Amino acid sequence: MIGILDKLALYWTYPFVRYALIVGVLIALCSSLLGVTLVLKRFSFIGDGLSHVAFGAMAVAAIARLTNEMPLVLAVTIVCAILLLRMGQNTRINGDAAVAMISVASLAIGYMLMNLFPTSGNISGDVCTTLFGSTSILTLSSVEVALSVILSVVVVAAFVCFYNRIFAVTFDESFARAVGTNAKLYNLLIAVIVAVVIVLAMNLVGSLLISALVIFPALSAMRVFKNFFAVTVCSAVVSVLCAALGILVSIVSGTPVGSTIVSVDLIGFVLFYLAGKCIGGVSR
Amino acid sequence: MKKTVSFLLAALLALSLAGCGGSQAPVQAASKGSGSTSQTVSDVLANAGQDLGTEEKAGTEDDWSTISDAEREELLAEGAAQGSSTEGVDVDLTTMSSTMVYAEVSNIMYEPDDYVGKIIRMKGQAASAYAESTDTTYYAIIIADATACCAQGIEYLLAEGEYPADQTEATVTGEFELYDEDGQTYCRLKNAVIEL
Repeated sequence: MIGILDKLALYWTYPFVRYALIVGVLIALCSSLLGVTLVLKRFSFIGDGLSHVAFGAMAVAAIARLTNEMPLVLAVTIVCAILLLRMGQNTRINGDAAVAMISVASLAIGYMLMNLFPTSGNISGDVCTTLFGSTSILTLSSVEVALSVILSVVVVAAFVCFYNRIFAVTFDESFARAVGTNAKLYNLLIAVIVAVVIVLAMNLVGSLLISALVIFPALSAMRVFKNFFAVTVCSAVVSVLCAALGILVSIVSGTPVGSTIVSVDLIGFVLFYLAGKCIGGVSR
Repeated sequence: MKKTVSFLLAALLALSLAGCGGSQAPVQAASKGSGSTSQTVSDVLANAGQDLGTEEKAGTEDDWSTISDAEREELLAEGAAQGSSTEGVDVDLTTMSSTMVYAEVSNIMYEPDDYVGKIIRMKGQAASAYAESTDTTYYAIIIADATACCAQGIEYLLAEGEYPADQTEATVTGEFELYDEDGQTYCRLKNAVIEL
C-alpha cells in the first residue's frame, strides 16, 4: 500500500498526470449531468452513435491533413446530434434506428477512409487510439486542458442555469410545450452540449466506451435515489469518483485508461444495485 | 431567456472551434515524418534519413557531459545491482507502469527541449531499420502502450559494442539530444549503454 502511495506521489509530479485527472474528472462530471437527461429521454445510445460520427469526421480531417481537426469534428458531431435528437420526432425512421444507422455508417466510412488514404504507417494504432482512447488523456497539451476546462465550465453552467427547463423537457416535453417552454430550443441546447461532451470525452475513453460514461453513473444513481435532483447529484459524484479512481488505477497498474474507468463504473453500478436492493428491501 | 440560450450555444461553438486540437507538433523521435504519437516500428523507423553512418556518428559524439565511460559503466552496474533507478539517471522509465511509460515518452516527443542533456533509461524491444537513401541502419527502443496497439520509440546510438537483434528485450541508458537534418528536428539517446 505504501509502495502504491509512493508511486502515486511520484506520478503526481508529472504534469500530464495532473492534466489527465483534471480533464478526466471534468469530462466525467459533464457526461454524468447529461447522462441523467439522456437516459430518461431514452437516448442512452446517442453517445455511442455520436462518438462514431466523430470518429468518421476525424478520419476525414486526418485525410484532409487538417492541422486542427477539432472544428470539423465538432461541427459534424453537432449537426448529427441535432439531426438525431430531431429524428425522434415525427420521422419515418425511429430515434434508436436513426442512431444505429448513423453510428455504424460513420464508423464504417471512417475506417474505410483511413485504410484507403492512410496518413501514417500505423493505421491499426490510429484506429485503436480513437476507438479505445488508449493513453490520449495522458498526452494532452496545456492548451487542450485549458479548453477542456472552459468547455466543462460552460456545460455545467448551462445545466445549472437551465436546470428547471431541462427537467421539464426531460420528463414531459408535451407538458413543457403546453406551459410555454420552448422545447425545441432546449432540445437543441441539449444536442449541442451532448456533441461537445462526446468530442471531449473521446480523449478520455475513446469512441467505443463513451456510452459508459453517460449511462453508468445515471443508472447507478437511479438504483438508490428516486427524484431527479438526487439522481443528478449522486450521478455526478459517482462519475467523478469512478473517473478519478479509474485513472489512478490505470497509471499505477499499467492498464488501459478507458477500459479501467469503465470497469470501475461497472463495479460502482453493481454496488449501487445491491445497495438499492437492500434499501428497497428495508423500506418494503 | 432565448437570448441567454443563444449566447450559451454561441459560446460553446466559439470555444470549441477556437482550437481544442491545438497540440504542438511533436519532435520526430525515432519517427521521421508522422505527426501521430502512435507509431509502429516500421512507422517509426521507415522514413529515417540520417546522413551519418552509425560508426561515424558514434565517433563524433561527446560522452555524458561530466563522466567517463568507466564511471558510467560503474554507475549503471550499481543501479542494476540495486534493481532500481540508476544513479545519475534523470528519467528512469524502467520503474514506471506501461501506461506511464508510453505517456512519458509521448511527453518527451512533445516537449523535447525539457529533456535535452538529461540521462534517460528505458526498457523495451530493440528495433532497427535500414534506409537506402542514406545507406544507414537506425536503431531504436520501442515501447508499446497498455492496449498494445500503439508504440513509441526513441532512437539510440551506442557508445560502444554491438547492437542487439530486433525484438530483443533491452534496457538502454543514454543522453537525450536533438539534432537537425533536412530541415527536421529529430531526437535520440547518444552515447548509450545497453543491457540485455
